[in-house]
Amino acid sequence: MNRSLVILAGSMLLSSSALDAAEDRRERVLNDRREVESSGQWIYNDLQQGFAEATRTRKPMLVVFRCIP
Amino acid sequence: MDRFVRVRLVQANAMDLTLFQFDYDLTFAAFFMNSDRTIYGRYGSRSDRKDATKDLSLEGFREALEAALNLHRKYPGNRSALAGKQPRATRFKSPDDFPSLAGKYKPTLDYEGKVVQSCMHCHQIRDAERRFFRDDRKPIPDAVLYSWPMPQAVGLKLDPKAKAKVVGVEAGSPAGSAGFKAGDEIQMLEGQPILSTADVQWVLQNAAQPATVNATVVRGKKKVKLALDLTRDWRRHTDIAWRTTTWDLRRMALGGLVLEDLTTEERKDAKLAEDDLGLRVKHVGQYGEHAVAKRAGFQQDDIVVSVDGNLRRLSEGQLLARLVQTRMPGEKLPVTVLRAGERVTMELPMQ
Repeated sequence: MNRSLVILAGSMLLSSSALDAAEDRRERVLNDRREVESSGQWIYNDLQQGFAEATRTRKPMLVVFRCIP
Repeated sequence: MDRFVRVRLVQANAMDLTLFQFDYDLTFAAFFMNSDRTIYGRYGSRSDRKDATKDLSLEGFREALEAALNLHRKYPGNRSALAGKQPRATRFKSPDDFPSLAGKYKPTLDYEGKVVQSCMHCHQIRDAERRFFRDDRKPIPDAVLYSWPMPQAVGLKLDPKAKAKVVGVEAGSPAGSAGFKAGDEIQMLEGQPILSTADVQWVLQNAAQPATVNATVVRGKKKVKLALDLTRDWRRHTDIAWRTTTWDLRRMALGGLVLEDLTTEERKDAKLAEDDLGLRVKHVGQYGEHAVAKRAGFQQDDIVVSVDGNLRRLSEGQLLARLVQTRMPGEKLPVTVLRAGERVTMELPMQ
C-alpha cells in the first residue's frame, strides 16, 4: 500500500481515537453528574448548598473532592 | 453516612484555598467539617502512581467517619483541640490568583459545551505553586517540593484499614528514635486528634525544619507520650516520583526525561558501584517543552552517570529536587550517559 496513504490513514485513526477518547470522557463527566444527582445521596458540586443544609440540620459535613479520572 | 451532609465537588475551579488545603495530587480527598467551616479532619492519601487506592480502605474511612461524628458531638466544647487542624494563612486565596493560572478557567464548569476542557484539576494548583517560584527564578522550597509527606518519610508505616495504627517502624528513623512501636495507635499529634493518615500528613506538612512533633499513642491500655525529632532535611526522605505534579518538575529539570534507579544487577552489568549515580532513561518526552532532552540527544535506555559534575547516587526525586533548587531556567548542565558501553556527554537545558 502507498506509504503516504498508510500514514494518512494512521493519523486519521489516531485523531479519531483521540476524538473518541475525548467524547468518552465528556460522556463520563455528564453521566457522573446525572447519576449522582439522581441518587439523591449527594449535593453535587455546590458547596454553598452544603453549608446551608448542614446549618439547617446541624449535621457535620462530608466534603469529597473526586473528579472523573 | 446519613449522619453527614454529603457534598461532592468535581472541580478545582474557584476552590477556596483558605479552607481546602490538602494534597492536590490526589484524585480522592475528603474533609469532615462543621457548617461554620471548622475542620474536624481529613481523609485521603496516596503514595503510589499505579495503585491509587493502596493507602485507602473502606474500613479506615469508616473509622475516620465515626471519629469525626464523635468530634462533632463534642463541638464547640472541643474547639481548642481542633485549632491545629484549621487551614493556614495562604498567599493565594484562589487558584485564579496564581500567575500561571490567572484568567484560564471560569469559576463554573461548561456543562453545555466543553465541560472537560473547562475543568481545572487539583494537581494544577500544585503545579502553579511550583511555577510561582520557578518562573521567578527562585529555588522551590522543600515545603512546596516535598508537600504532604507520607508517614514513611519519618519512618512510620500505618495500616490503611485503621485510623492511624502503626504497623511498622523503620530502624534508625526519627520514629524509631522517638520510640514508636508496631501496634501503637496514634491518638494525637501536636495536640490534634488524629482521624486518618491524611491527618498525620497534615501535621507533617505544617512541621518546620527542624522540628519536634509531640505525639500521644495508645499502646495496649496505656497512653504513651513520644517526641518525634525531625532534622533540617527531614522532608527530603519523601518520595515524589509517583506524583502527577512531578511531570512538570521533569519538564523543568530533566527536559522531559523519566528516570529510574538501576537495580543492583543492572549496576553490576554497567560496572557501577552501589553509591554511583546510575539512572536509566525510562522515557523521553516527545512534545514541546517535554522534548527538550530529546532535542539535546538523549535516548531511551541511556544510563545517566553524571549530572552537573555529580557522580554520587541519587534517586530521580533527589536529582529533581537538587536541580530545581540550585539551577535556574536558561542554564545548561553537562550530563554524561552510558550508551552501548560508551560514555556520551550532552548539554541538558534547564527550564
